[in-house]
Amino acid sequence: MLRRGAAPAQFFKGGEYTMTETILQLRNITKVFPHPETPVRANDGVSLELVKGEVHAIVGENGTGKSTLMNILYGLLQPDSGEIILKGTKVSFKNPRDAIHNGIGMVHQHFMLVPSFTVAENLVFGFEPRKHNVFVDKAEARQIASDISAKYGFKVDPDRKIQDCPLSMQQRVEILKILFHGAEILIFDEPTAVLTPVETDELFKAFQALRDDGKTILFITHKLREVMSVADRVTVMRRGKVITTMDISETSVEDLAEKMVGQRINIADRIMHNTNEDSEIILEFDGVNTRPSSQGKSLKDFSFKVRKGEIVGFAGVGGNGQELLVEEISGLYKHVNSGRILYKGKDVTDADAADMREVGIAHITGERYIRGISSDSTIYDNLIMGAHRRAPWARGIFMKPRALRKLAKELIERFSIKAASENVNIMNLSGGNIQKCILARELNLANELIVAEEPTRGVDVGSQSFIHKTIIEKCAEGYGVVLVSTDLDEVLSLSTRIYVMFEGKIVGEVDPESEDARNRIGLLMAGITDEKEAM
Amino acid sequence: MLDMLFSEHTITTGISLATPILLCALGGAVCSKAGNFNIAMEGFMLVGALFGVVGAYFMGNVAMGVICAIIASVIMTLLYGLFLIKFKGNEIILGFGFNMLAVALTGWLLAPLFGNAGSFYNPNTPSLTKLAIPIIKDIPLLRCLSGHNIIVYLSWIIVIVLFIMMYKTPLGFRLRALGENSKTLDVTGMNTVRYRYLAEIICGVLCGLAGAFLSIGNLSMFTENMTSGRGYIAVAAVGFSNAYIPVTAVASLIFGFTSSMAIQLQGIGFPSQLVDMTPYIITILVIIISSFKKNKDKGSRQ
Repeated sequence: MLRRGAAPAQFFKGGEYTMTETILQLRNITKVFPHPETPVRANDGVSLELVKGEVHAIVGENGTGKSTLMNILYGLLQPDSGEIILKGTKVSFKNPRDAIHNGIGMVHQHFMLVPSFTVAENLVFGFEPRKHNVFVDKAEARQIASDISAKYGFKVDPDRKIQDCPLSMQQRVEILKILFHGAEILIFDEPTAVLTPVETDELFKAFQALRDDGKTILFITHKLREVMSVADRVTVMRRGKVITTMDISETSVEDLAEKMVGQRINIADRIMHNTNEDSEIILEFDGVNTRPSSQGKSLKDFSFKVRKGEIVGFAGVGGNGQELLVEEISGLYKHVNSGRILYKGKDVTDADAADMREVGIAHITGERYIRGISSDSTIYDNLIMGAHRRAPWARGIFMKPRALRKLAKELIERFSIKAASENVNIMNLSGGNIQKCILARELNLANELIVAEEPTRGVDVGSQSFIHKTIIEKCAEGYGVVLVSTDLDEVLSLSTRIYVMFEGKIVGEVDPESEDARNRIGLLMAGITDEKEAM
Repeated sequence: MLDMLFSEHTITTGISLATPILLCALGGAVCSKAGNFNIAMEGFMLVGALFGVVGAYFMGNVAMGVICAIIASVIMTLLYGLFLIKFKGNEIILGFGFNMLAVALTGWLLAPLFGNAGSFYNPNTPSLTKLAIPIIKDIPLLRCLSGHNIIVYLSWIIVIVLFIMMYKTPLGFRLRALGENSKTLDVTGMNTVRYRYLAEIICGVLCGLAGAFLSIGNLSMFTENMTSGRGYIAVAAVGFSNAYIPVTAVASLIFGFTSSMAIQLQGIGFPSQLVDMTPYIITILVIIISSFKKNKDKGSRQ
């Protein structure tokens, strides 16, 4: 596990770089996206300098132009003005191929892989070795894959199809791909967004190996602890501008957060609540066992209670049955073999999603684009879903458009969703604002129970703290909250009680207030229940 | 009755009925792999069929007929590609549009070109000769494979060539990547538009051949809407096979043979309307089965 405040020196022993060897300079890059009413200045005179062999982080909230800048550097976009100077010479990239030929590689946030191709085929895609000058030399491709994976110590299985690979392996393939292209400067766009803590750890070890090999790494993130533990230098961007570039030793998480959002935010603000043992039980799992899902995962002997005014956190490495837990509560996947699920004493074991909506649960999901929203619809449509068939916004089979319109406007206002109008497509919003839309809609529908599943995955610090604050408020109002998150900091700072999940079971309960909570959770997450075993 | 259903005659007829379906389906499969589920093969084929006769009649040369058919069909696919790729049209609506356009266009052109409406037949127009394959033509059963015209043999070669192209060459890799995740091409600096048009052109060539087979493959004639739904059966073959070329080919052959059996059944007094329905019923069944399978796959991936 990455510990809070781990010094960069621990990660890069003896790693030192000289300030003299500048490999890349971006000078006054400006990029404006046209728009009939308000053109967006995504990059506004951005200047940046990369030193050879450093790990350079770029932090900033969603929608501050980090990705735009990287896409310009990679040749996917052309700047309106400004220049790129690579190793002392001015270059301009018409397309990514130019960038690749100049030793710049990029690992995109959404992987650029072909699902039905094997790892080896994806690795050489676009630069295939040839047999008789006509055919793709698959044997050679496999050889290249195993050679390069051995060279950098990234384990991949050359013959496996990408669709069968876990996300972390897909990411390794992406990294190997750009190394195969001969990249000297590696750009990563939010590389840890899809990774579990353990995988994140591995990725950062890989950063170290790459850096030792003389590569320069530029990575975008908004997880500030990661920056502190892995980067040598950090550049903060806000609203299309560079605020500052600092050595990591000169800054701190709090300092970075403040510079990012322009005001001081207390990240780990926890409000202690008075949980009363006698409060009403809202949700209860009583010895629930489920049939294995198609991936062979199941919940085993799952028992817990959520009372009014409680935030029950579920920590654990991703893929240990969290999705199943959420789906069982929300009624999306009902395959209970034995045991009961009770909502305020009422048996809801076999209730489906519509039933659970009826009793009034809010389901805040981190799977924004898959489950959270309808990406083809407007902000208004997304906000009123659910409410549209409920009093007082509907009567019988008729909706009340005026009431719904008012509701949408209210929600936008109350949750400070930054939208020009509620009638634009929701995909125009940044990730953080989309997440706030989900939060707004769901809380509006909630009666007593809130299920928050990775509620702040991949959103910027500002939205994150807003979402956290809102959840805590709701808890104080007497809602019961189930918080399922792989972000340990989130679970620790919000929960009143924490359960740790491992392979579909609850392996332990931890009091977040206790001194060694973090360590104990870390051990439990790895499935180590006997403390002595760990010694 | 079974004897008759599975006679050599049935097989020979089956091959000949399967050929246009096969060629269209191959074109559709290439488009589908490249990310365009093309349903306009019917229309491309019909235009090809008309211009096959036009070429053969006016130039008095059957090879020119085939070439004209291909050129006409490719022009149609390029137009389709323009609307699809440049103007970002919906592929289903475009497909219907082009199919209907083709019926109207070919029906209308008949009069100015040949002076008569509805159909055209002139015994002096050359058509493709049937070629016998030595040795095979004397072996019982196998001799069904012999005695077809050049387009039939060509279609078999095309199956192999396309398979090799799609699964063994960089070009095929790019076309398939285009369909699955077109951004993989963007980020390696390749021109996706070029590859998309290329897929349409390949489809155009194949549909042109299919059209030529229909109009100048046997007799040299053209009747209004003579493709009569073969292009739609090809769409079914593509869907059924998930555009995997070997399966696409087999599916097309199956559809051809069922049509052929249907004709035989007609001979022994089955209601002809019922018999005409057979290929379509099989198509629907196949689509239902394959969609069940797909849903199941989707379920297990979750």
